[in-house]
Amino acid sequence: MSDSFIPLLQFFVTTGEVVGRKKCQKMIHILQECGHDFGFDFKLALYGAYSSALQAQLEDFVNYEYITEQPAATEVAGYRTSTFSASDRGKTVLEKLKENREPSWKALAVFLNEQNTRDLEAASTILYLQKEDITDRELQEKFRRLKPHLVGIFDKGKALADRLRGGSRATA
Amino acid sequence: MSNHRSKVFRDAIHGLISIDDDRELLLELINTPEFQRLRRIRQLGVSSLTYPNAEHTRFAHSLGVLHIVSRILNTLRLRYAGTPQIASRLNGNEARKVKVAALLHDLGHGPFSHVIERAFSSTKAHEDRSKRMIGDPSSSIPGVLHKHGFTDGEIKETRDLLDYHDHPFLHDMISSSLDADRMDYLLRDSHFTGVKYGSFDLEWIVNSFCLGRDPGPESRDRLRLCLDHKRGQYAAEQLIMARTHMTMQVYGHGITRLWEAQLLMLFHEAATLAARGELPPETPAHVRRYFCERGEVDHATFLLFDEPSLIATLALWSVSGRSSPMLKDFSESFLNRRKILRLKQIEPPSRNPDEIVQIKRRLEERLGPEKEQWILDSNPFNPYKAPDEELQTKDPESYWEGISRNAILLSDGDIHRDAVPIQTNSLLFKSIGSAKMPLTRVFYRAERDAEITEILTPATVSA
Repeated sequence: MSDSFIPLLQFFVTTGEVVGRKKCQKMIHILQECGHDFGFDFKLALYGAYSSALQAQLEDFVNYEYITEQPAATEVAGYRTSTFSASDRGKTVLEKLKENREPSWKALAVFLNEQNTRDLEAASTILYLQKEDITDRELQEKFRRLKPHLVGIFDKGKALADRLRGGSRATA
Repeated sequence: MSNHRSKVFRDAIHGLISIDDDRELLLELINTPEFQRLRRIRQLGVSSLTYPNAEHTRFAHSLGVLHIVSRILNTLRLRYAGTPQIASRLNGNEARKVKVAALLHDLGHGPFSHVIERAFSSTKAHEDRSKRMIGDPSSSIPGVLHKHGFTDGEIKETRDLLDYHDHPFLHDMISSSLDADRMDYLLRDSHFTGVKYGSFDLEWIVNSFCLGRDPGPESRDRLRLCLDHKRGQYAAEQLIMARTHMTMQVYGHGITRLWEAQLLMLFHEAATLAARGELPPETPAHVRRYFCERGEVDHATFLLFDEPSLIATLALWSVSGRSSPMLKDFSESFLNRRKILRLKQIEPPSRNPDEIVQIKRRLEERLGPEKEQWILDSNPFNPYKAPDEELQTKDPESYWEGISRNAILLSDGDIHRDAVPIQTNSLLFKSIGSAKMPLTRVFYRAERDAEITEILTPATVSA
């Protein structure tokens, strides 16, 4: 828990505002897939890559007021969803820990935050599935079975995943 | 006339574990070197230093998980015998895959399972290695599966069952808040530690399983493993309390965690020496390779790397004239249970998460990098991970996702009706909510006691 505290706080200070827990999950999963370790383990299940530890730490961050949650502030794909931003307390803590410099992944986090949650969900699922030895056809088939509601954006998600992977290779 | 003697294992927890359906397949898997290796990995690693009888193995546990999964399949077969679209999933090929995945789920564990997982980033998740071993051609598992008619696709599906399945109730049996793995290890660990309140009514839970629709809006067409709402609730309450007590008293026992910390520091030292080519010459080749490659070893090396070989290595290191002083001292004191580390508990709720980070900073500044002189062990325990009710209005999509992933579900068994999370009906689950039990400790070399005391004094950490 203590290892992920600083990167997670930097994440909120860097991004300014993130809409929804789900988007936080997908962004951090993708950042980890691109080689930036936040210290979370992601598992795949019905809704795609997800870390219970991250979910619990988000609640902690709200409870300890490192971040501010505006409940149901924004509508995403038919759901009212919370908006998160770093609080003054969160920023002060980061300064006190002398961690308020720009993280190496800042540009990537900002880019991901500009994408919509559904596209990130598709890309994150694809990146997860590609960890196993998998053909393009198998990937498409698995994706269809796991994410029937996202089948329409498979190509978009795949293009985003390819771009992210290429990008992480280029910077590696 | 037939005269068929069934294959049975005597088991301390389940009495007789009988392998009847898919007998040849399962026995051949049990007889692979990969599965036999689990005889040499204990379920609870260093816990026997705290609970002397905790010497049971992952071999027996894996048979127990197979047994419970077979029983869940039987319960559901009886209940849904008249529902062909369900019955077909509970028989033949699908059931075979579920049983194989259940049997093989722990293949990837290293010696002192959870300690070695914390040692190196490549060993973080034993599940990844278990999955690899199911399909890896250098492992004997895929050969056995092919021999029994598994196609390549079916082998992949079996491996994927450890993560998910199109019909999630099949995956739920192996991995969920109420899976066969958890039910077996709680009963087994409770029995062999002698911690009686780790027990619960397995018979009643198995008898209560049924199916219901996932209540999440995005996954409503999927069937989930549920407990019958008229039967299962109290047994599930007993199980969650058992898990909480076992975690606080056994898995998170301060002295157990201390010996784990000692091994972690020892592994860190071994990896540092390995990188410099300075491991003692007596070190067995496969152990040397494991530390040189920080756990990222090939299949053949992994098969050899078990608890007896690691313990034998500690014995060699404890007497070698070529060991570093730390390697020698930590090996010898571990083997003889001579405590050289101390423990200090960091008491919440006076400490915020940022204070813990500050403590870690100060430890690094004063005593050098973690794992050399000290370890901060911060591992809060969450008995029930489903989200709190209030999340439903704040962030509904995330609420339903959390329910779908982590809730124990109740149903009347009707596959056309939504299941409900158990906390809707159970006062106990509602009260537990998503509460976390803090377990934060510092383990350190006794000679640093004065510095540690100073660093942990609240006045020195608040800014």
